[in-house]
Amino acid sequence: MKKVLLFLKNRYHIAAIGFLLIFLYSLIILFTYRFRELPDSLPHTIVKTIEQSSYQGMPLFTASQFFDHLIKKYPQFDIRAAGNKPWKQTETLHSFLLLTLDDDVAHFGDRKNLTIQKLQEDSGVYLFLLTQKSGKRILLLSSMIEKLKVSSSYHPKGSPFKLGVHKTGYKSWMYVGLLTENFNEKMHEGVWAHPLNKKGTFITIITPLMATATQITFQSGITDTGKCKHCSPVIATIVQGEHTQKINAPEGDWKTVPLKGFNPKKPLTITITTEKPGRRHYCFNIAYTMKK
Amino acid sequence: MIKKESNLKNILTPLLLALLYLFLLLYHTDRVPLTDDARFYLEAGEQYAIWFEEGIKTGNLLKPDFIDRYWQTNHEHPPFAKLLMASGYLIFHKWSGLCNKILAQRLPISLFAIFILLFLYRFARQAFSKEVALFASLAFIFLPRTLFHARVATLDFAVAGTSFLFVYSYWRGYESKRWAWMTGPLFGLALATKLNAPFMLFPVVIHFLIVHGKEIFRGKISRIFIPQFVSMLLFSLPLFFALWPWMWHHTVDRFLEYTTFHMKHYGILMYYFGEVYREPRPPITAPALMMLITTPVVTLYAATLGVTLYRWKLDYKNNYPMTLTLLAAFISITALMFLPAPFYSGVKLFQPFFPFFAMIAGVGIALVFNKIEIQKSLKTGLFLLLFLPTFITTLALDGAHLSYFNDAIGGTKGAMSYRTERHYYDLFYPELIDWINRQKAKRIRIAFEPNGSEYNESSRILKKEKVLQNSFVYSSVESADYIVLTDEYRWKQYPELLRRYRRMKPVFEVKREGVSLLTVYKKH
Repeated sequence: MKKVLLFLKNRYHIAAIGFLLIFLYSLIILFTYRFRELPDSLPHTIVKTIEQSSYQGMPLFTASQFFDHLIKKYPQFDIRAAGNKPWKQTETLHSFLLLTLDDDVAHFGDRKNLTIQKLQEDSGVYLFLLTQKSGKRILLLSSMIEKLKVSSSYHPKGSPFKLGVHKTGYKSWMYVGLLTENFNEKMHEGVWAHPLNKKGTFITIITPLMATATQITFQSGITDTGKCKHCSPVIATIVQGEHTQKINAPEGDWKTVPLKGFNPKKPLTITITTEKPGRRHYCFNIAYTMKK
Repeated sequence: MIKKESNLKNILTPLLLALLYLFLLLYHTDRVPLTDDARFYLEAGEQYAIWFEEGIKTGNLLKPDFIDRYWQTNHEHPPFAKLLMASGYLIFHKWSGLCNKILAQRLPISLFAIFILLFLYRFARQAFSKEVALFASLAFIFLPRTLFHARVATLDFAVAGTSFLFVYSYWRGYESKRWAWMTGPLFGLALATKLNAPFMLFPVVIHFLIVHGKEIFRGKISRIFIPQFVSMLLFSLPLFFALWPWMWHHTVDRFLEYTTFHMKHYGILMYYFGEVYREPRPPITAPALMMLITTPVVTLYAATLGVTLYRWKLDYKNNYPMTLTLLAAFISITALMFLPAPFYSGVKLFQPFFPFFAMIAGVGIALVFNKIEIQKSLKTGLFLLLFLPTFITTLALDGAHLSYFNDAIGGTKGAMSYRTERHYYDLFYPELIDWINRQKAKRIRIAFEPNGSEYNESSRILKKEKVLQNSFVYSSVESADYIVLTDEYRWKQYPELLRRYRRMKPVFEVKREGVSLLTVYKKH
């Protein structure tokens, strides 16, 4: 004991122990962490839970970038990449699923109006359901992009659906697809539908049949990046049988408008137009309140 | 005073270190990916070589039109590193046919790295001891990110090397007249390498004030005319202009163009702890934190010991070498913290920091090494083992050393979990080239996302050098057979692309430490 104490009295010996500990730590990290593959699938019970019909169409957020590679593995799920700050994207959502690697929903659960429910836990993977306290089950049109029927001046017979988006023209930004962007510095998920590049052109979107929907609201806006004083307004004309409603998108903001008199179950035809299409970074969404 | 020893051991140790570094520099050299700026520098190296060769043959070497024809290429950056590449182009490619243009122009940078390692050994040996020299050299060799920059045809390692030579020469100049007069030309060489070289003036001036401050404040102003400074006044700028034929006429206009270009450099995106930055740029602590997570932990610890255990009171005895080294390291990193310079997702822009940091780490290890009372050969073996984990990691990364993160953050995986970019520089990985070359189709149309255009330029070089087969066609996403999605969060569209492409079949993936760097999707 005396020898040990004498040994430790010398600060260089303590420094040498530091080297030894770093060496051992590096070896452990090397063989237990660096060389280890990430799990290439989700636990079976978690997959089964997500597959339940009540969660279909619900976005699946992830708390760690370790889940990113599972986006390729499970194309049937709407898994969102965990990079940047994904919890910001959920701030305006009514309900979503969350995968985490611990029992902590961290930033995702910061909203006071959310109910957090642990659905499943298996092999260190946790699945949560986060819903608004109102108890309403709301589905967004943006999570059903594949089900939209889209046509445009360039594709009057129907826009081709390629790589997850409906191409409405020949330029890279001419498409109808999901986008999460800032509107008045708050993130909203929407359907990107930038008006086409010539006066008199149009985009028409037909929404799918929603058999269990009980209520609908229309949301739209021009992103903060497209905000502009002298640009032409973007108008969405919503038609269902005899009912028609025209909605102007706010500049750099997001507006929700109830669609009164429309049958929430039946498809809507939405036509997007503008006089001058420059910098019209337009998005819209439809929130369906579903029968419980 | 500088100790002079010239026995076999003193030659053998640096020689073995040089061989080890040479091995790491050349090991799987064909696995080093092509960077997005290689196209500028490879083209420049070739053009400058042709200027030299043709100019000598035709006698037009000094004619303004002839100079402009070849030196127009990449005239926004000074020439020294590209002259090294030009020499490689002539020696290893054109005259001997030993290797293709890419490797031929990379080799001189790697050889220059060996040269710098030997100087680092020499500096540490003369300033401190042979133990410091040994461990400082090892700390320098086992810097995986610096190793990457020493293996590619770009300017970043070269400026680290020339800055180091300048500081060494200045310090050595206190004991040697020859080195004192070499300081000016070496500073000129650093200036002729990259725009961040002038920052090295600050540590030198501060060090000078520490050494001679008292005399100067007592009125002996003439002390500022030490041979090093006189040499710098006389030779630095003339050498800078002499090395750069582009400046030989329209000198004022072109010099102003050179400086203003860098004042107005476009912003560079950086994904840093979950946030994408361009304007405003990342927090001022970002360069320091990037250094802390990309330098091996053993080196960080050793450098901390170096600073804390060093006998600062005795530093004056050898003209304050530790003070100078620390100042040089500190200023090369803080310059980037406080200047509105563009920033990359790594430590590329402050490479001059690392040779000095390795010296400080060497001091730290040697201090402990010398105080441990066990058999010397056993002790040496144990201390050499400290670098073993980094050695294994370096080999395992197989060329992708820009994906190196230290054990403190948990390697590449850890960096990913902390939402930090796992690679950058739009790297064209050799595995991807091999995969493309294995495809049997007559034409294989490939699109790159999220930042395709850089890959188009790189693919042209690779095809020209027959590294990439001719069936490869760079394509738009619409008409591609395959889409390559590189995992880079700094591109805003990346997360959505990852989601959108999920219904396509992934057919190939490049991974390091179990983490995906890119995925090839089959489109149809």
